[in-house]
Amino acid sequence: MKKLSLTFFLCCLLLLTACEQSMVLETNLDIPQPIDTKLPLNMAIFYEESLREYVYTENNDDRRNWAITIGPSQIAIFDQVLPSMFNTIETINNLDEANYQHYDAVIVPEIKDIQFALPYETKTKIHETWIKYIIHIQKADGEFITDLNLSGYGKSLPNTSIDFLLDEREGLVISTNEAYRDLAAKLIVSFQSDPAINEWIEARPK
Amino acid sequence: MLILFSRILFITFIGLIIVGCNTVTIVDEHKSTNNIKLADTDSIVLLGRRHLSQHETELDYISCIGKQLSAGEGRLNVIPEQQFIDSMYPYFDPSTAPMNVKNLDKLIQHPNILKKLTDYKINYFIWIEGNTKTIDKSGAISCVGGPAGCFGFATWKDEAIYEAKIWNLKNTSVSGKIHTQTQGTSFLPAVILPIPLLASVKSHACDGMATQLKEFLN
Repeated sequence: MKKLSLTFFLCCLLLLTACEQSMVLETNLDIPQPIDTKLPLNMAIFYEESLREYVYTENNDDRRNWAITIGPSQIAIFDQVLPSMFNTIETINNLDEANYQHYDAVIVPEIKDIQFALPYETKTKIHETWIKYIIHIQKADGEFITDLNLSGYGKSLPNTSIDFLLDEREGLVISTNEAYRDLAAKLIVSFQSDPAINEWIEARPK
Repeated sequence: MLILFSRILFITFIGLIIVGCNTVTIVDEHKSTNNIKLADTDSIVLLGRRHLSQHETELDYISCIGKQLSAGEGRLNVIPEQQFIDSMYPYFDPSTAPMNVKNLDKLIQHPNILKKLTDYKINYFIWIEGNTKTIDKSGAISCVGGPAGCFGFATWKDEAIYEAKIWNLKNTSVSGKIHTQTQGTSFLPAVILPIPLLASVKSHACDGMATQLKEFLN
């Protein structure tokens, strides 16, 4: 009798946890290879631990136990895009390291915000993602050059939205990928057109 | 009584087919040069404007024009939109694409970007802006026990407004503009079964634009 009660209790627990709407998503982002428009700079990039291990979490009535792992795939995107922008780019493990290596400047990306909108929330047929970064750019000795405030927006295509009823994750991966594509595009273009960066490049000893 | 009702229904249906689903397209063209004569090896690319998320030019509209331009008499070499955007990444994405010819001039100063365009043999860009929207709707249909028990009448009016701008890459100028405006009304009468009588507004707008572009580029 005792054994039967325990089995019944375990079954109830399983049912309860199974009904809970949870989302654990590991993004695998992919963007096209950019056209090489290299600036004559030898750069370093420093990924802070908070960025490397960034996981978007949310837990409320509509979004139960959401955990979207973005850290590794966003670093893969920076690693893909940055070599097309500069003569050289190297990853450093701490900012002090930059001082001894004769880099022209160091890039420190910081994720500020990420938001998602689901079809039933916006009464549209698409998933949407917004991401916001501050790209800190400083000299090797730590002197401030500029901060680029960049945002990326992405949405899933409406014609695949029927699939999303079956697979919420697919919609979120597509919209997040598009948002990172948009962000990376703005990063490349901003680096070539930002007045503070251009001024610093001009003023640099040749 | 039943025969009379059936006759009225039949006449109404035929009348709707005759007067309904009609579309009207108005094409307006402005040329800065005479018609362009593309060489057989030249290519063109059609790009939709999508920098405002609420007013994006539909992907299927661009591919519809592309298909029409690359088929039949006077066919043109059209590079598929997404293939071009991906290969030119990040310079023709929605948020970074040049909004005017002057910005294109700046872009082609970079040798790698110019080389890509030269490899494609592109001398003309065609930017298309606009979309198709429902501008009016009325009526209602109620269904009881699934779609086989519907009654009512609904109608809606769609409007497609598109403008194509042809950019000349050689002298970075606008060679011409084509504006199309198409309106059409669709009907959905329902007596037991709903019978959609749809006006293909976007498709007519595509035909009108493609015909004018082909004429301009041949």
